[in-house]
Amino acid sequence: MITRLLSRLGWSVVTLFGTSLLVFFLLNAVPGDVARVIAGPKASKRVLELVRERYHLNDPWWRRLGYFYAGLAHGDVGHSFVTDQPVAQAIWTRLPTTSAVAGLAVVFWMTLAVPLGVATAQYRGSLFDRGALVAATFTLSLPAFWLARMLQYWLAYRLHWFPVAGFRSIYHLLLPAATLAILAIGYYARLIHTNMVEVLHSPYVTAARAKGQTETRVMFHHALRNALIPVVTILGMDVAGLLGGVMFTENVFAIPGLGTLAVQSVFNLDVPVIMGTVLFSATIVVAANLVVDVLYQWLDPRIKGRG
Amino acid sequence: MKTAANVLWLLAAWLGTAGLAPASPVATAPRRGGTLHLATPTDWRSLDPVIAFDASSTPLQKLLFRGLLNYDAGINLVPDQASDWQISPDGLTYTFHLRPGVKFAHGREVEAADYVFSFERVLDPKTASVGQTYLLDIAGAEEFSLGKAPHVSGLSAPDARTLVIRLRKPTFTFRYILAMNFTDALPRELVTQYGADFQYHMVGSGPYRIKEWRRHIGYRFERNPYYSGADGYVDAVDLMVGADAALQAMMVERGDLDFGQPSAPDALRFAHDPRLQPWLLRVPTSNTDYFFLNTEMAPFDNVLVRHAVSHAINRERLLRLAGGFGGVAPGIVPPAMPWTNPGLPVYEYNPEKARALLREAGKGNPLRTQLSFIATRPLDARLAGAIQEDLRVVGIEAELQPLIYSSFEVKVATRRSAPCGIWGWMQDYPDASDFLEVLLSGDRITDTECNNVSFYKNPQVDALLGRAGKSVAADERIDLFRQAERLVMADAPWVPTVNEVIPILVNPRLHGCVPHPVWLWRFENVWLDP
Repeated sequence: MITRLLSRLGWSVVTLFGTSLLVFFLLNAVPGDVARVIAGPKASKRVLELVRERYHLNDPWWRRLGYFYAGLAHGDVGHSFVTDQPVAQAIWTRLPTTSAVAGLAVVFWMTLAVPLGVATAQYRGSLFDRGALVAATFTLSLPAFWLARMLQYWLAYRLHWFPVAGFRSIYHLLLPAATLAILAIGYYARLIHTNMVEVLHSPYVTAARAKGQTETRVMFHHALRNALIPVVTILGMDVAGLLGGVMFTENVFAIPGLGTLAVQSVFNLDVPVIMGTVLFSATIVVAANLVVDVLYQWLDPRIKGRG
Repeated sequence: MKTAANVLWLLAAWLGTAGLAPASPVATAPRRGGTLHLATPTDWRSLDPVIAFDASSTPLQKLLFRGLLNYDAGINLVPDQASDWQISPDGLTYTFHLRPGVKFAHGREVEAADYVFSFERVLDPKTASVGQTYLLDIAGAEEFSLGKAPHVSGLSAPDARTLVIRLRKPTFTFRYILAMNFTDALPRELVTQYGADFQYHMVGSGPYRIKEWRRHIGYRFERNPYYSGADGYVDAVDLMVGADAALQAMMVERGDLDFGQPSAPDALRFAHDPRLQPWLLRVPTSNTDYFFLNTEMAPFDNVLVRHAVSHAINRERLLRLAGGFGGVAPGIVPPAMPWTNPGLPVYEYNPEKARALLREAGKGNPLRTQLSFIATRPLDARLAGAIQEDLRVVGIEAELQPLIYSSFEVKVATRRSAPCGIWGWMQDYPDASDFLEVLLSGDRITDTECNNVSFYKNPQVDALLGRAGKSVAADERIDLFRQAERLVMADAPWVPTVNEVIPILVNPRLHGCVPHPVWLWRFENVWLDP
């Protein structure tokens, strides 16, 4: 168990290292004078030279890579070229907002997906089940930016039910969370449906029914609890993905989270912030993977010894 | 000083463009109170006036920081936090007396020594201020910026309320530089205390101070309790970061914002809706977009080819592609400055004439060239396509060279690098020299980082510009610049395309928000309905 954990940890580090290298080289391949981006179009040569010195822009790539990893080892991801703010601070100040949107979205979609999944499993093959399948496929195929703009236009701008954008209260997060929820409900409802159908045909459910337990107790106590185990692990991965920043949704609703930070940094060619946000997202996903892996072993002893 | 006639035609020219815009409804007298709600798509690098250098943050900087001079409702300089100012007859010495009782937002009175300190901070290369190059005409500034002198010899504060600035040569436009944001007063003890972190502890002498600043999220300004000026009507300013143009239009209409900058389609929607029409204001900008032709590179080293290109480009179509806001540029200097030059050559759209000129130039078809433009600006990409098509029609095959901003800037400013391309210039101050001298003087050609991207050199033009530079008589300068502009247009190193007009949205509850020829718009003079 320990060896396996250590090996997984090792591979996680390799993954993150590879990600950082890839991002570094991609950003280095982007043409353009970063000093100009920082100092502005009318800066003098002397000012440009000082900027280049300060950010090591005159050094060869391998030395800059060295500075980057040396900083990282000290927990310093660097400073934003555009705002001079420490990157770590930029990320930490935005994480609570993104977490709030993600958390609210998960509550929304699970609240709807669980009963929907259970009901469609119970009435499998009915018109209701087929209708739900069509609706799920439809919502699953919606592009996030389109759905976000539509909800914003109709529910906020035209009907005045919600604020159009910004983040001043939890009320401002309802539409962004609803956007994310609508995109996920269908998938989760089908996932719960499939697992429920499988579990409902298992011997212990038949045994429970044979014991004369009520159908409600069979569904929720015996079937759902087991059907949710694989769902929870996938949910963990999805939440990790959401915490990495919900680019389109946050941008449409002007929510100051990690997604808007990432998009703005790309537009500004703000290399340290791009590196920071990508590495942060990658770290969360890799960490979630690790946790899910360990959790799975604990939940399902059959996995032990494999891999 | 300007003659009455000059002032009249300048005024007429200004009204000719700005007067078309429906004025912000002025239904009430200015009243104090309320919170002004604003938004911006992205946060700025800093609002520190020494660092910030963009038109979009200027109206906000003006709420926090003030300096010696400002503009009235037009382009006339008036003392702002100075009580009076004199320029010596030789044009070398500027003397300012500071208005008594002007205080920074932390309570201390503004002193002449604060200006000396602030100017030296701009000149210090370590500050990395874009304003540095503008102040190098002060005596001793060059030596100070090179680290050869501990202070700038041309700056002195004989007493707490007197500031004397000595220049190394008479420079007419220096007065305008003293109205630019980076010359605003900063409290020297706080800047010294915080160093590079001053941008997080900013204090100025404007009507407001920063109460809260959350990077990339928003700002809140509150009144500077020590401010003694009459302006600054609203109690607080709330600025949201992250709202793009489409959002701003929706939010202004919903009443969530008092002011916004819409996208062109939204602006057109407001323009065509009788209910919303009064909300839309058109702000003429002192900006000229142009298609430059590199006069040192074939085929544009031939003046006939440049004339042909001037006739080949359908500028009306370019204006329509730009959303129809603005006007076809009549010359180098934008009319909104305000500026008119009756004698300018006119190049009407005439592909037939263009082809004839190319034949006269002895150029066989098709000519080949490369057209550089900034790929990340969607409008420039559309314009590049349209110009490419116009040129193809007359027999010039232009290969498109899309570049990101910083690469574009380096390429066009490097000698014999970009044969032609799409570029533009927004004025720094309302003086024709800011276009003719800065962008088209042959004396300013350098091998790299050259603002004269046409690498245009005409000794006659340079002589006129040289004379204008030495002159301190406003009438004479205008006359010299007009002559120079006529010569430049006859040589056609540019095809001036569009003078931009920025559409803005103003919620009817906001009053006093009117276009300004230099600041575009201002918030220190606006007030809100109860």
